[in-house]
Amino acid sequence: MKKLLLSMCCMLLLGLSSCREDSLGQETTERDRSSYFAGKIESALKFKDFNSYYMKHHLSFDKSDFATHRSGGVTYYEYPVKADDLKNYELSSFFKFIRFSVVAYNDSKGDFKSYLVERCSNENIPDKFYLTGNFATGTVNIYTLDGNIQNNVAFYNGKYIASKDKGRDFGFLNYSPVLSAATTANKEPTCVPTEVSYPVETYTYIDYYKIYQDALTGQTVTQFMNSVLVSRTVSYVYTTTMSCVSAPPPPNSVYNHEKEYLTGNATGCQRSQQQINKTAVKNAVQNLKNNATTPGGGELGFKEMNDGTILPGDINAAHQVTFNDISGTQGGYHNHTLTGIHMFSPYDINTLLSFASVQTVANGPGNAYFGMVSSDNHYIIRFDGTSSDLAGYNFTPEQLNEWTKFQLEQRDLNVENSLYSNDYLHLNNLGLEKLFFDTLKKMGLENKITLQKVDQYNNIYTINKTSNGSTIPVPCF
Amino acid sequence: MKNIFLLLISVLPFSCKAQQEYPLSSDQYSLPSYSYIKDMNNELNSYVGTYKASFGNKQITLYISKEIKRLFDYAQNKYYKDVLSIKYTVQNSSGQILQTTQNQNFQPNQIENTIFSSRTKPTMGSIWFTYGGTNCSVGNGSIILKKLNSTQLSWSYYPNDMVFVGNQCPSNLDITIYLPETENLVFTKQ
Repeated sequence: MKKLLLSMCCMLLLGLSSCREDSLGQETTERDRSSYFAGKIESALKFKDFNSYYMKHHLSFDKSDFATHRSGGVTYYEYPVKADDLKNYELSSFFKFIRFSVVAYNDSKGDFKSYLVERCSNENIPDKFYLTGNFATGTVNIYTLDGNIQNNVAFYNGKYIASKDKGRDFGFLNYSPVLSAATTANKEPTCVPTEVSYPVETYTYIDYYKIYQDALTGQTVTQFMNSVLVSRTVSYVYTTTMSCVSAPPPPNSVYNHEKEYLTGNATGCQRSQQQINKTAVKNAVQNLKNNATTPGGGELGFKEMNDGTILPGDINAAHQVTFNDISGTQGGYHNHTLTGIHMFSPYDINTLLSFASVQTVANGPGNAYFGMVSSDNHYIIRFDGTSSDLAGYNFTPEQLNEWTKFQLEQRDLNVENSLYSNDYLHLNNLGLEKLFFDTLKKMGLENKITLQKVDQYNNIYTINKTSNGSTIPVPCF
Repeated sequence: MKNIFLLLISVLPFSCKAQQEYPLSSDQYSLPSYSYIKDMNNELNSYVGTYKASFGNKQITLYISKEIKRLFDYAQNKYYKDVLSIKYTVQNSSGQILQTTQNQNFQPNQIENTIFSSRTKPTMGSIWFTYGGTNCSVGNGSIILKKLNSTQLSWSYYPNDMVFVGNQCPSNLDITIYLPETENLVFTKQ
């Protein structure tokens, strides 16, 4: 009997040992696979200066910490990602509602995939903070590692609601906490009969397409350019529940995508929205913004080619940018330094006319744009005249210098007016915009050029001049 | 004799209009052509002189003079004005002249290289100048001189930013900004 007991204990110990070895073996495998994925992510890592929809992040990747998730027969490895320079952001306080991670896995074909996951709660965050859509409780945004958004997943009280691209939902994310601080209170539903409402949200996007004739084949090509959210409506479904656990809201949010083709008839708002929301343009503009706030940072500029390629100015000096050749471009940007007037100069306006003159017949001169960012402003100008108007504007250096002198002297005069200056040294926004319209009038370009202001959330406003010399920003939507 | 008298009577109103005088605080862009903006309170006089300062291994000499009733004759704007004109010389540490406008004779329609007073700000004890920039107008901007005492004034220079397309600014021109781009640089009267 003793022998039997002894042998049973040995078998039990062996069994336990075997289980432990299995467990250790599995951990080792996971670590090995994690190292493999971490290495792959590092080699693909392009999001060090990652721009999300609303602000720039400098992200770093922690490969020593990971979690695994199994969903749909696929094992996902998830690593925390840290935003390093939050102190630089005006909205840094909101980052307690935002968390980043990177997810890597081999798909069913064995191909390596990796995405940046941005979990957001929108509790207590102003509506306009969310340009991607203001979901009921929060969103998960899925990006490729180079910063291109792939998917938005909406959550309500921690439950999955809807997704823009169901192919990239990642099942395990559906029940991940959105974020602790803001949503913990929402996770314990009340155990009383109560009528609950679920939001049904409709997002309407305009998908912009560019139509052009292929130079080699001669065929007309329709190329997808960008998708811009243009409206969001919310309605509510009401139901009564007795359960302590809320039923998941119906997955009834709707995403409408309307096609729009940018031709000569597109509005300035549509064109600017399309242009500034391109990832390459956003990154390049952010670079200019950083430069504009750096003392002695100098002036930088870039031009955007018709195929969307961004090319820097040929000369970028302390207070001067030169574009040697602008053929085949849509427009460009430059920054004004800390010392300069933070508004378009006559030379800048003349540069817009140059961009307008190289637009294709199909696009028309109105497709051209020229942007200016400074430490505190982001403006765009667009030509509103016709091609025949354009032919009449061939300004000489003497004219441009005279208007530059006019602008400087009007600035010196207007800073003495408390309406246009807050410190009697610099013009405020109204003063800058008045200066722009006065300069346009002097150049004979009144009503031929539109001024647009872009706020920190990339919302665009058309700046209209009023009869009393003031200005009114009109939102583009 | 009668005809001469009639001619004088008819010319007189135009002659009077051309001599219309306005204070320095006037906006020349809202005045009739050939108005005269006059330094009625002698606000400009105390800045006249030769001043020197060093900045970043460079020696800068300012020659500030007062020009009475200078004609500004631009395509869209023509007026007379009492102004301070700054000419300058910038030398390197070995005394070599990097840039000078000291002996230049500015034409009535010239803007590049000129530095003329734009606004007097008596309450701030300063005068604002407009600099036309060097070649291709690069470096155009504002200069503020503030009187510190009878022998010293402070210099603040705020250059603007330019964009050129194609060969708008020929590449063989020197467009270096030699004037000191700084705030509150103290110049001493010689």
